[in-house]
Amino acid sequence: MTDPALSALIQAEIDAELDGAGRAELARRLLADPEARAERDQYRRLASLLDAMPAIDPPESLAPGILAALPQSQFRHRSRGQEWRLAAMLAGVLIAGALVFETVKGPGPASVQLSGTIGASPNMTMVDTVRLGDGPAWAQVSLYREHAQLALKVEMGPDDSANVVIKSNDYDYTIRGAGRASQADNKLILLPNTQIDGHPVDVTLEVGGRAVAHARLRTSER
Amino acid sequence: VNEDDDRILVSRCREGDRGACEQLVLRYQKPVFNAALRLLRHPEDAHDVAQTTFLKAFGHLGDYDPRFKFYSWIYRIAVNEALNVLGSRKPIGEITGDEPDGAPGPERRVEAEQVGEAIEEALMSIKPDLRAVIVLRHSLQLSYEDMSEVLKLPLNTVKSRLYDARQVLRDRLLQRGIMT
Repeated sequence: MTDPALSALIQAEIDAELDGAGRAELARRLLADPEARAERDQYRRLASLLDAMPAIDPPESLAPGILAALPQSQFRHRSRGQEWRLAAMLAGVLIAGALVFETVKGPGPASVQLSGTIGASPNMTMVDTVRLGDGPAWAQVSLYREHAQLALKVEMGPDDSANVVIKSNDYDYTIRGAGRASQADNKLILLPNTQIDGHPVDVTLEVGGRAVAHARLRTSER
Repeated sequence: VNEDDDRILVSRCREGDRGACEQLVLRYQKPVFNAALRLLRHPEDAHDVAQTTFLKAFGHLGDYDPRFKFYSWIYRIAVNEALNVLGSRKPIGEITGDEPDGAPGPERRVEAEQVGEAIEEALMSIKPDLRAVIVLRHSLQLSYEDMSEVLKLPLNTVKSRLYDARQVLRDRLLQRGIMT
């Protein structure tokens, strides 16, 4: 006959939720009673079997289906016009910055480097950008900053077997080539700043599951 | 999961930022789908539950209290949705502790079934409210406190429910010869 108090002690121990007094009581019971030890073994085995049940990947249609089903009126639209205005503004800032840089410093680094030297834009500023791969499997990854918020823009070539893996500190995110239209194509991906916390962002292009190119994006302007 | 990131994403999603909503879906679709799958053991129903969960969550973001964890809130919606689906199914019989008549004996069962499948079967044979605590603890790896928040139950009730659930599962698996 199972003693409920013993069972509770054993299970709380398995869940790492047992306090000091409970641990001492359990140790005393285990030492004195072989049946208690056998019971603990059973619960440990059960917990490991339950923990080992594999997590299944949801169907690929799930996320796009949810987003498609959301009422579009819920979202404030960044219209094509706004996107163009943002792009035009960004281009304007880049050109102005380049001119200032050229004037003050003379001929210098390429435009990608220049973008990082320009002062903070009032809105969204490209901090760094990189192009990985060639042929049909390529990705252009650009890091933007708007105040404290970081965002990525990922454009990918037509190769559906290509994935872009983004890692920074303990943040890990994969953009799958096949799902890029719904996930990333021409959109800004917000990054969790607290997880990244000033660390650089590593970008890897994978083709058929194999890494083919890698680069590191900086998250702050030099 | 970083709760601060969730708060930022929820706040942006509330303001109508589609990208933030998308990030929340990508972040939580797997645990929500798996919780529903474990509770229902039916992929299509789990898909529907996951979809309904997110649509309800986004439709009621105004009701979400940011003092609580976002994942507790969305898991609660998912568990309730899955239990609703279970409630609408034909009852499959409550666990009695005995093998059904005509069922193969323990040795044959162990030979014939994969252990994982036997675990899933045992899980499906227990009451839904007991199954829910097993799923929250072992599939979603929630603490007692988080489970209490998800289920809106006192901590002690959550503990005793979890312990009861494990005891029933243990007895059933011992009976089937899956555990010794």
